[in-house]
Amino acid sequence: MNFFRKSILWKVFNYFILFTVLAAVIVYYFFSQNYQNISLVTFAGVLVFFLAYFLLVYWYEFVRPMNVILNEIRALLMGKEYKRFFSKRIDEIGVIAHFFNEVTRNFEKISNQLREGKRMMGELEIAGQIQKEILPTAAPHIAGLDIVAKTRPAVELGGDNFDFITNKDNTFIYIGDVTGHGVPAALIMMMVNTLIHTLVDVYDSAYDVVVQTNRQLKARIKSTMFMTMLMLKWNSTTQTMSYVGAGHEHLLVYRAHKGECEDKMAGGIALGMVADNSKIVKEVTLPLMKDDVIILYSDGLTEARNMAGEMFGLDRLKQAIQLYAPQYGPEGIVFHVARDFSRFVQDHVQEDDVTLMAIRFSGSKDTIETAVKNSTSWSDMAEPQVPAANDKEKSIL
Amino acid sequence: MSDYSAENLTIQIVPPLNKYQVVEFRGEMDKAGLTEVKGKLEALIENYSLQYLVFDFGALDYINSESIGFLMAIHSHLVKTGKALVVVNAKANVKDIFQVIGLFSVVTYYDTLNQFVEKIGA
Repeated sequence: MNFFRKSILWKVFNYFILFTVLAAVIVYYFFSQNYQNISLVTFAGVLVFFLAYFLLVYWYEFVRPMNVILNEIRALLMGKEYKRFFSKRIDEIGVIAHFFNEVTRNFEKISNQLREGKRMMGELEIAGQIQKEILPTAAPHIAGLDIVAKTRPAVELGGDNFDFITNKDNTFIYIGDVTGHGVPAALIMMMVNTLIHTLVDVYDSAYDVVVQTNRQLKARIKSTMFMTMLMLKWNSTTQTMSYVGAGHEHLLVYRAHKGECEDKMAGGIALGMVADNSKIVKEVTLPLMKDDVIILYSDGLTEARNMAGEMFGLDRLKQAIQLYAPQYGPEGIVFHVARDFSRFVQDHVQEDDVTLMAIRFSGSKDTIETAVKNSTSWSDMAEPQVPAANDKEKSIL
Repeated sequence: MSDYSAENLTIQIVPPLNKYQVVEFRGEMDKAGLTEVKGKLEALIENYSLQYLVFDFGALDYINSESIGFLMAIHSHLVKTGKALVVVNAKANVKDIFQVIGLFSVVTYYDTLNQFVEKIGA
C-alpha cells in the first residue's frame, strides 16, 4: 500500500482504475436493465459527474496542499510569518512539506546561532577592551629607569601580561605569559594581575609576591593551565634591581660597557604548576651599570615563524639587541627589534601574543629619555626621533 | 604497536612491558598536533595500570606551552593514582623549553630510556 502512497502518479493511476471500474459497473447496470438507448443527456450527466469527481480529487490531493505550501514559501521568502506543516503524506507533497519544515527549522537554528554569535562577539569585544584597560596604556616614568613596552595580542583576548606597580620606593615590573590565548588565558591573566596588585601592598619582596600569587592561582585553575612570569623589583632609593623567575623566557641584559647581550635563565617554575613554589623560585640581585638595558619578552616573539617555518629565535633577538642597544634608547631598541621581527615573519599568521619590553638603567635618579610615544600598543610604534647616524637601516636579517 | 599521526606529529604507543609503557613522539607538538593526539593519550591514561608512563621525545622537534600544560595534566592524573610520568631522550631545544618552564621540578627526566630502565631495575 505504501508503494501507492509514495507517488501522486500512482495515486492518479489508482483513481483512474477506480473510475474505470465504476464506469464499467454503470455501463453493466444500464445494459442489465435493458436500456437500449441511453440519452445524450444521461451520457453527458455521467461524464460531468466523473469529470467533477476527477477535478475534486485533483484539487483536494494536489492543488489545495500545493497552494498551502506555496503560500508559506512565499511568506518565508518575503520575511513574513510562516507556519510549518503537519502531514502524514509520504508522496511528493509530503516530501515538499517535510523539506519546508526542515529548511525553516534549520533557518531558525542558524538564525539563533548567528544572534548568539553576535552577542558573544560583542561580549568578547568588551572583554578585550577591559583587558586592554587593565594593561598599562603607557610606560611609566620611574626615577633611574627608562622603560618602553609594546604588546600585540594574537586574537581579541591575549595571554600576555605585563605591568608596572610602584609601592613607596619599590617598583615591581613583570611580564607574564599564560598558556595559549583567548578567553581562558585572558581570565587567568586578569586574575594574576589583580593578585599582584593586591600582594605588592602587603609584601616588599618580589619573591613573596610570586610565591603568594602562585599559591592563590593554583587553587583556582585547572591543571592544564599555567602562567610563566618574570618579575623585576627596582628600588629607586638604593638603585638596585632584583628579579624572580617563574618559568619564563630568558632575562636579557645588554651590558653597555662590554657591548654584549647576556642571557640569564629566569629559573623557577611556571605559576600554577605546583601548589607550593617557595622552594623552587628565588630572588636574584641583578647588578646594573649605567646604560645597561634589560630586555623582557614573551615566547610569541622568539617562537614566531617565517614563511619557511623557521623561528625568530633567541639568538636572532640577542643579535638585534647587541646591534641596536649601542645606538638607541629603549624606544629605538624596541622599534628596530619589532621592525626586524616583522620583516622576518612577513605575512606568516601570528599564532601567539607578542610582548617586548626594554628597560635602561640611566645611572641617575632622573629620567633621561622620554619615549617618543610611550604607548604600550604594538601598532602605535613609531620610529624614534633621534636615530643613529650610520646604521639607521642596518638590520640583523 | 599503534600509530596515530597528526599533520606534524606522530605518536607510537609501544606495547607495555613489566613496569612501564613507552610512547614515542615524532614531529612538532603544537596546537594542531596536540588536538590530534590528545584523545589517544587521554584514552591511554584513563585506565593506566603500570607504574610508569614513559614519553620518549627523541624525535620531537618542538613543544608549545599548551602541550606542556597537557603533560602536566597527565602527570597530575597519574600521580593521583600512585603512578608517574617520566620523560626521556629530549632534544636539546625541547629540553631547554622544559627547563625554562620548570617542568623538571615536577616530572622526572632521563637522558636515555636505558638510564630509566636501569634506575627502576626493570
